[in-house]
Amino acid sequence: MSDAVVNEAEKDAEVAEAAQKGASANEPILRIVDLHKSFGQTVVLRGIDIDIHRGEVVVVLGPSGSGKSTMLRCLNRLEEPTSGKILFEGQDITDSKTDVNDVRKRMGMVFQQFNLFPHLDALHNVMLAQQKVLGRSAEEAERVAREQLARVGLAERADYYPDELSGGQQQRVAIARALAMEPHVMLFDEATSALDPELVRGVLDVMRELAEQGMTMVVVTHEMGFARDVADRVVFMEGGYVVEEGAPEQLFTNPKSPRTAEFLGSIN
Amino acid sequence: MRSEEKHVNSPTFFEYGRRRGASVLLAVLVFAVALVGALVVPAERAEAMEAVKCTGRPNSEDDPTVIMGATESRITFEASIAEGEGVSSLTLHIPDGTSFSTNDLAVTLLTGDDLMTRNEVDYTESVDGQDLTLEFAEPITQEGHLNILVYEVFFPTEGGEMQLEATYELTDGTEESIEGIPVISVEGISLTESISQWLEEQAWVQAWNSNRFLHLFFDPSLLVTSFPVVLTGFFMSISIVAVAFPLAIPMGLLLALMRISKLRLLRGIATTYVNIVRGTPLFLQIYVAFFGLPLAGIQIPNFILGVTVMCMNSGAYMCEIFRAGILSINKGQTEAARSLGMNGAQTMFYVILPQMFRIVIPNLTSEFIVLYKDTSLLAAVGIMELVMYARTIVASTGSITPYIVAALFYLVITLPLSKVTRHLEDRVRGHRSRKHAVEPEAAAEKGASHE
Ligand SMILES: Nc1ncnc2c1ncn2[C@@H]1O[C@H](COP(=O)(O)OP(=O)(O)OP(=O)(O)O)[C@@H](O)[C@H]1O
Ligand SMILES: [Mg+2]
Repeated sequence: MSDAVVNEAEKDAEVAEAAQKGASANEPILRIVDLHKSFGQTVVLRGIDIDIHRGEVVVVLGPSGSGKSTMLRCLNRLEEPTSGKILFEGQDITDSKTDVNDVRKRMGMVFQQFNLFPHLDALHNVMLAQQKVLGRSAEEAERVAREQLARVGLAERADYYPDELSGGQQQRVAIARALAMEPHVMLFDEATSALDPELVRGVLDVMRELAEQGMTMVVVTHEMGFARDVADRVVFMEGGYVVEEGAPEQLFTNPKSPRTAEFLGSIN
Repeated sequence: MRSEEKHVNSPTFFEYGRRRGASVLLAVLVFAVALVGALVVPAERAEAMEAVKCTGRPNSEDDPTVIMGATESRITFEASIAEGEGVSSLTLHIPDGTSFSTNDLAVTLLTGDDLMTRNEVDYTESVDGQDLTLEFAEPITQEGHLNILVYEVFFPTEGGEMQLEATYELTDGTEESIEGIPVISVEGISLTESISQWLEEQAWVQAWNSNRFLHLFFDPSLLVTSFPVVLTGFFMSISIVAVAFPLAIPMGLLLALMRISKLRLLRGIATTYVNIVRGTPLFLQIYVAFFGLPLAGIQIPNFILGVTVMCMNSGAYMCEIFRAGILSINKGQTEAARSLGMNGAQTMFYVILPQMFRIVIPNLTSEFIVLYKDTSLLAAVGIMELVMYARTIVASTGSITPYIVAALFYLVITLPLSKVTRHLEDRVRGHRSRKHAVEPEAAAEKGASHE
């Protein structure tokens, strides 16, 4: 990933982002208020409250089955919340009147299993939604796509099909695909969990770079190193609750909850 | 421009000059011949023999007046002989491309006022190429008609106007030709007819046909003659599928989309339709359409109705193929598309359906094979497709061979297609042929568990 190019356009975007941040620094871009979610009898989320500010990187930790993915998927309504509110840029997205597609345009998501479109090459994976959702012309979509592929270090792989790419490369294309929509928030659900260890680095480097450029990110991960280095805040979830949240140094070195300590101990 | 004109003109002048020279020469020759002729040959001697008739024996099974090429026939040639002429020999020039034999050659002199008295003629025959020459033991001096029958005549396959030529020699050594011989019109026969006829005469074919089973199922000459007839039916069957199949695809797709729709009404309609069509025999559906609609006063041309029934039937099967294809696509695809802000329809058309079509191509090919074979059921309602044509020949010949020909016409399509299907299935299961080498890294196949 060292070859990823931070070009002029991105620097401009960074500046714009910073300006936006200044304008509404105190208003969280994303507020999760008392979020509940059950699947039939199974209660998965039991009242989640998290505020995420512009430019902030929030890492969500927690044991398997604690509801991290469910929480993340509620944020762009891939799952319908059972109750509670999700306010995104001041708009309640759980409201039935909200155009969910309009919300999703501004929220990128990266999946554990990449979910690239196998019938399209990397370039067209990145172009498709730009054309269909944002109504960009083919030329513009291609220009943006090439820019984003270069950003994740895959400029040379534009005409490769997903099955011709390694897992790490596929995940980076998936990130480029989300970024091409110019989202205001990026959601990562265990973006590196399906990868072989030697491929994890490349993807994390892209995410790190993205964080440095001021992207607002909600990251579900088991990469403690990434959490420690990159996160502005770490949220620890268990059993459908947020057990503890805080700055990474504090949470990693001096957890308040014994559950957090136990979880961190089991990881190390 | 000028020089060109001049260039064009000059050969014309030259040619004109040449022609003039030729006609002068011709005039001189004619004059010379006329002079010699007037001195030596009396004028009436030229009419010693006159053509009376020249016919071929009709040999068509279908039309009793038609003479066909490449089929056995007989030439009847008759010419009058004037009294006291002394015809010592006669040469018939049989038209080129026509074969004949001297077996059973019959030469008779008909005499008497009514020409009913038959006189044996003593002669020796000789054949030189197309020339059949009769040397008479005694020059014929009697007035009458000389009648000659040539047997085992085979006119050329392609037919045409056959002009026989005849010359005779008188006792004094003068040779004359008989003018005004009528032409024999011969109809050409098709290649398959001639092959079939040729086959019928072959010893091995006769040996083959002496086996009852082989004769009934694999009569070689019938195989050949059925071919063009059944071919007509083949084109009909092909055009039925060629129209019905492409129309069934959008229909099946629409039904599949209705079946997975969130709207209960659409789901209900599609499910009912598919269940009824798949739950009843196609044969019955054909009967209902072909006998029911006319009773209800609805007249639809057979071909259109046939295509419609096939299409509506196939659409139901395709619905299930498409539905299974759509459902087989990983949920992650929909989620990825939706997470990018694409709506349901966009996700379906740009993400799900393109992948679905790749998956279902083998099944669609199988469905095509089924549909093609099922066109045979339309024979029952009188659509002139493959089986129907075969059946008409079977009815007239009593041999099953035409059905075997029909079977070959099915196999010609179904065998290669099922091979293609197998190939496609392998490809769907395995990997698309790659343009680029994959980096030697394991990837996506790893499970979701990370603990
Ligand atoms: N569609 C569903 N239907 C029923 N139960 C579900 C569904 N999705 C998730 N669950 C349940 O919700 C619980 C939380 O799942 P979730 O995927 O959110 O956990 P997670 O924290 O992401 O775990 P992991 O770290 O393993 O990914 C699990 O017990 C799971 O079985
Ligand atoms: Mg998860």
